[in-house]
Amino acid sequence: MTNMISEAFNITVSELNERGPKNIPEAFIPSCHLVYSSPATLAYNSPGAVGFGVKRAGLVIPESVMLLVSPAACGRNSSILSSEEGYADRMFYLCMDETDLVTGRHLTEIPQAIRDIVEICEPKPKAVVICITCVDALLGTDLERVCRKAQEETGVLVVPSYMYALTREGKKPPMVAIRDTIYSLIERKPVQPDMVNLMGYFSPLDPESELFSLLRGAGIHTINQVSECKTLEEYYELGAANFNLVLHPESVFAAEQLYGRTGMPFIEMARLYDPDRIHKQYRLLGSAIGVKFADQKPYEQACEVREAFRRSHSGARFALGEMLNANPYELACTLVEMDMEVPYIFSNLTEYDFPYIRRLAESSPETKVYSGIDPSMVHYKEVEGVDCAIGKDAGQYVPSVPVVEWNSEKQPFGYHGFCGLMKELTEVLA
Amino acid sequence: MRGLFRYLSPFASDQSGAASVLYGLGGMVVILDAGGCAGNICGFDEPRWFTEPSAVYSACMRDLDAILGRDDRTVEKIKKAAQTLDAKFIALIGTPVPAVVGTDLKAMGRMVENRCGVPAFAIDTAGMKDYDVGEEKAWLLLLGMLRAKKFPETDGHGKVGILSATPLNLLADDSAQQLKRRVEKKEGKPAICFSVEQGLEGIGQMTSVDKIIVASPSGLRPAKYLEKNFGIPWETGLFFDPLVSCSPYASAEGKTLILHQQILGNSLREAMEAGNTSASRIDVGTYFMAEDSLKREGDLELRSEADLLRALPQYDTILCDPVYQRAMKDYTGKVLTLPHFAVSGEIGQTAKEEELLP
Repeated sequence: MTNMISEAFNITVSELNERGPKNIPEAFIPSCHLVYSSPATLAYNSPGAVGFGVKRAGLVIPESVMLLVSPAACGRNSSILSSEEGYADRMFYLCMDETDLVTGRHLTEIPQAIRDIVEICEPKPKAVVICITCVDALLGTDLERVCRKAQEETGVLVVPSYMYALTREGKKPPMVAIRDTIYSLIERKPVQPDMVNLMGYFSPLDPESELFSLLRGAGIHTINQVSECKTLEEYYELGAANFNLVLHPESVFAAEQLYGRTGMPFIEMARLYDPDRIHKQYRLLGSAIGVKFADQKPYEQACEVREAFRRSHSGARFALGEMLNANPYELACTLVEMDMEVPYIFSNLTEYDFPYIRRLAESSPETKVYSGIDPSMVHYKEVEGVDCAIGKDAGQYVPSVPVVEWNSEKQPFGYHGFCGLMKELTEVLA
Repeated sequence: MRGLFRYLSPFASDQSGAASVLYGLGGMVVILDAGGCAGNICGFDEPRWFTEPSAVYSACMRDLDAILGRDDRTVEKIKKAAQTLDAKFIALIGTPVPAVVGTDLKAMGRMVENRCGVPAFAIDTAGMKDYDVGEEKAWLLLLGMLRAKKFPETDGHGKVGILSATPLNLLADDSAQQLKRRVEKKEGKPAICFSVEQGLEGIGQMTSVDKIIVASPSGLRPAKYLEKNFGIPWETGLFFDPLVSCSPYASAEGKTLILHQQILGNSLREAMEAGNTSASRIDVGTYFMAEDSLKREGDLELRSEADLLRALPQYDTILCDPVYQRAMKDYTGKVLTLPHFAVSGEIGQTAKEEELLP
């Protein structure tokens, strides 16, 4: 081979900003190149991967079990993860063979498979989520029809869901589609003005987050999260919420669908780490719903934490990954604006990140951004000049420094999230 | 019901088996998938991925690539990535996506070879068969590449070659090294574990070693090919030492069933019979390939969960992987854990074989 490239691709924030959101380098666009699945990227570049992939996410519907109808290969990660993450007794598999590809026989077997599964389950599931994969995407399977028929035959609620890795850069990628599935059973109930649904995460928001007390202080007394519903009856109560508060951009599609189907309005809020911007966002949310949030005290506390961290650790150098409960670009902006340095970010990049890229280009133009999935990452060698890594993947990219993984399933949010992160960083930098 | 897993979960598939054989050979391995298959192969079926990185990639195909048959686009992506590597070969591994759209994998392999200028081949796995099927295909294709002089033949005289000792087939992380040690002791000459060590140069020795030891049934057809074409004798076995009383398996009693791949099961049976155990009779059962000539009367070929549930009451002791134990909630006999990476992956992963067979 000639012109051998022997370095991992990276690009500065300044260069990214000059290129702009319409000219993102191919290294950040998975379908433009082969994807290198390094151990650091495995957990998020596969739609059924570690944490809340499609399958575990689908099981957020209470009192449900899942039947994965697919080639055996698609279920392999669940063989292991379902045991490790405690949902093995809710996962079932109907494995296809080559004949099924030609005849579609596997689809006709679903009702009997549901009956066989229900027979051995204790307690009996109230819903069976059917999950199909790339194969049926290509076969053009009408899963909604298949599920309706299975429901009629078995008398059990049958819910369609899709793990179509082939459509990952489309309008409805797998993690967007599964969020749509999760909320698909909600029907409008008489509206309770003091009720809200938090949409976005598959596990509950940290109950210590000030969001709860602020909402309650503003007269919103019932705050629902689908991940806290223990029964299907509780889940159906989500239909009475006054509005949905969307905390993760991948839930916007589901919220739009709910609005279209039931008329439930929604408001988006981002998970931010800059206390000033968190404060501003609460003001905006208050204006939108006609209340004033009493967030001055937690805001001032967060500002104090910020100043204390700045005094103690000014100039500390961080490498950020993307397996963390934050947008790495927003977090980088926050840290740099606190007089820290962020020499490296390991993360994918989309046009939605460009507001942060523009901010970062002002404050830290030389920050280098690596695309973990680019084929050239096979040549990656540990970078130097870092004091601490933030993110589970960053810990693998920079293994010689302390790491704060910051990817707990208890979702941090707001000032409390910021203060929690500062506390963990202070501990590892001590 | 055919294909329904109510207690068990899917085993490592043919595409993982093929990738496992090729893993340490210094080539570029491209999984022809949308992303999920490569994630499964690397993250769940390849224990070496976390300690010995290898150039395994996902083709990251999208719906229109598959629907419109845009193989040339995939080939271009491969060519671009190959320019970042000094790959000795490029292997394409089939998944359900090319299987559905009927991709001509052989032709794609030829296209890649022509465009990239390095030997290339494709393995027609589809993610719907068990890992051993993919392993067998990979071994046979490697032999085909040697036969076609696309891979260099190197000198293996004076050595014993071990076939199919991949992590998916064995008990513990160090099992291949332990097997090599036992083979060297038994045969009195150096041994080489093909694909596990010495990369492509080791593969080059396959046609000239003095003898082949087959560690799992996926190596049987390749061994027969080598015997027929190169006159190399072969035998099967893992040659465990007789079971000692401190082994967890020494507590087996009564009628006993070993569930694993057939050759490991047979070797463990021999070790138990030669050693310290109260097992009165030992059968070997497998969900994977089983050679008739290696079976004893009473051995089981399992095809479904129902087969396993029917067999359970006949046995006083069962040695099996943790995943099989999910189907044994009502079983009252003794259950001893026998890890099989192709079944439970890291759940049953054991670092050292001596923890199981001291």
